[in-house]
Amino acid sequence: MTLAEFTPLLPDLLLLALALAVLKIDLWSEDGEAGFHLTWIGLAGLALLLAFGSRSDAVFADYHITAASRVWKLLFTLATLATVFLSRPYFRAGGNARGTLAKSGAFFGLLLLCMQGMFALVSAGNLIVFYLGLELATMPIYALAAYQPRDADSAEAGSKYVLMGGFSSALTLFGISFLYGATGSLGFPALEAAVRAAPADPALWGGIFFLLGGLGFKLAMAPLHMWAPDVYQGAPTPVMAFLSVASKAAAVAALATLFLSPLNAVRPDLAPCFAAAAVLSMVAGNLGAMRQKDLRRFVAYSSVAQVGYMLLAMLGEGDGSRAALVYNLVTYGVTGFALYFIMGVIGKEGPETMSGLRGLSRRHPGLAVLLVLCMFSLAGVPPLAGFLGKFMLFSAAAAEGHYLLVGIAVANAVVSFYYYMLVVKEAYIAPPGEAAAIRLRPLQIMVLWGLGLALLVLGVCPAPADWLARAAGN
Amino acid sequence: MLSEYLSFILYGFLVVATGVGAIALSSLLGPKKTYSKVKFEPYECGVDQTENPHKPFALKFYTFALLFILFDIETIFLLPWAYGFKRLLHTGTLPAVLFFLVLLGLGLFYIIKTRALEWE
Repeated sequence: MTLAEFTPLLPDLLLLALALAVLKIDLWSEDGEAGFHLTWIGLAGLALLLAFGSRSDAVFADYHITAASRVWKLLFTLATLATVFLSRPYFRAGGNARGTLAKSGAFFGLLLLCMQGMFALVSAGNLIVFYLGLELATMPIYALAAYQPRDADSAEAGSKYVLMGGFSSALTLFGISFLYGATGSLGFPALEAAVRAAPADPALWGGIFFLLGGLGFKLAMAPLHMWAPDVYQGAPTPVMAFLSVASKAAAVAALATLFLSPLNAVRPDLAPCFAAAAVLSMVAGNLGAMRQKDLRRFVAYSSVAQVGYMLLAMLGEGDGSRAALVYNLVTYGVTGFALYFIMGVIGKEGPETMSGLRGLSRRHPGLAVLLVLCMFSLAGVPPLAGFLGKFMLFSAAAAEGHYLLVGIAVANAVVSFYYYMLVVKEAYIAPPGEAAAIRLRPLQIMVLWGLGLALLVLGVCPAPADWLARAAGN
Repeated sequence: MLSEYLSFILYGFLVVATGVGAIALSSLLGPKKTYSKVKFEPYECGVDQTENPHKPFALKFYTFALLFILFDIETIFLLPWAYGFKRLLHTGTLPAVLFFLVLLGLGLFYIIKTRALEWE
């Protein structure tokens, strides 16, 4: 093998080098600034490389570089980059009312290692690589969830996530062993052929059952979502952001990697299962979110509902579904991060709760407008990004004739409008307290403008959606 | 179908019967225990207990335990390769193993540098 043959693998190798370098540079850096700058520059470079670099596909034993995997990787990279920027004030003294985080180098290193796992997950051509990727994508988050120093809630989040994560990993592994028993192979091509040949094998269905259970936990899909609110609430806000966007994207990618290619033959039979999980997630998420006072808990329930919408795409046909999933995750990521940056701003002085938003329209009118855009986008109001994301998911399911299910989803979207508007009500109508006007740094203003514009552009202009659909559809 | 599994079912039945039977027999035939409050109190040379033994204690050893397990497992990965070293050397596995060792070395370096191995 010549060196040139490794070019498609370059992003993955660079990421590993970056993760190690960030961990090492932290040993000599006194204030952690070097680690932060290395991380964001490295991630930005990686994103450019993935978007404009080598387009050729390659197979390295059981590690497959495809166009679809590049799109997923780009998504993970951008989500991590946003997390890194979001976490910046949380490491500054006085940057957050909850307390300052320490050891930024290890924090960024863990984020990058987690990303490495996600990369392996979407490049897997074998169940073992798949499982290792899934584990590496989860394990650093156990530590990250407990990152808030001397905070009982954060420790609780960490331990809950360890227990739930360990349990779901065991389920996944158990399912994989069943699949191996049923088909006699771990590689995806052989698996696909075996599943096509004998789709009614009971051992195969045992495997699928456990795999779906394990991945359902990671995805926080109802009825396996009970860990999410506690972990989201206890974890530091940047970690919550990473969990709700990057980690969720990885779990969706895992589901898509397995059920849209090697196990595609059994997916029509699984439709009732996905439909039930989708409806349950939507209802559980929407009903749960209504009563929340803490914004992180609110995000957890709202993301459970989003998982319900995303599961609709699993009912559609392969390429269209994958494109819809990726596009919805992009719009959800942009909307989510706009909200998390707002949470970071209000978290500087007060708690990140509903009441912390009180009087936002007077303290900083621009920020309040962005909050309204976020909430409208999450609810799926037409000119915004969230609408197009939801529309693609619903049309993927509708194309296969699941009209009743789409009707239920639309009804749920209307219900969700109620609690998203509760947030807006806090910002505009609730009587403001004593809090002073908010002053933003130039960089913060730039990021917030960027996200706000993306919210509008992604909803109006379908060109990025087309590009993603072509790339992910492969 | 049944005849194929008969020996297995019989075996399972025997396993359960032995386990349950041993406990049941010993409780039937063995001496009966008498319970009293005094028997449940900790015995310390005839003196009443002065403090609670369930005290919190420092868990400084846990980093060592974690790191030991980590490096222990990595040794297991190395062992088969070392065992077949002569034959494997020519099959192109050397770069992979060296890569693995470099990662391992970087990890060790990180541990030493962050003073995880220093006993306080």
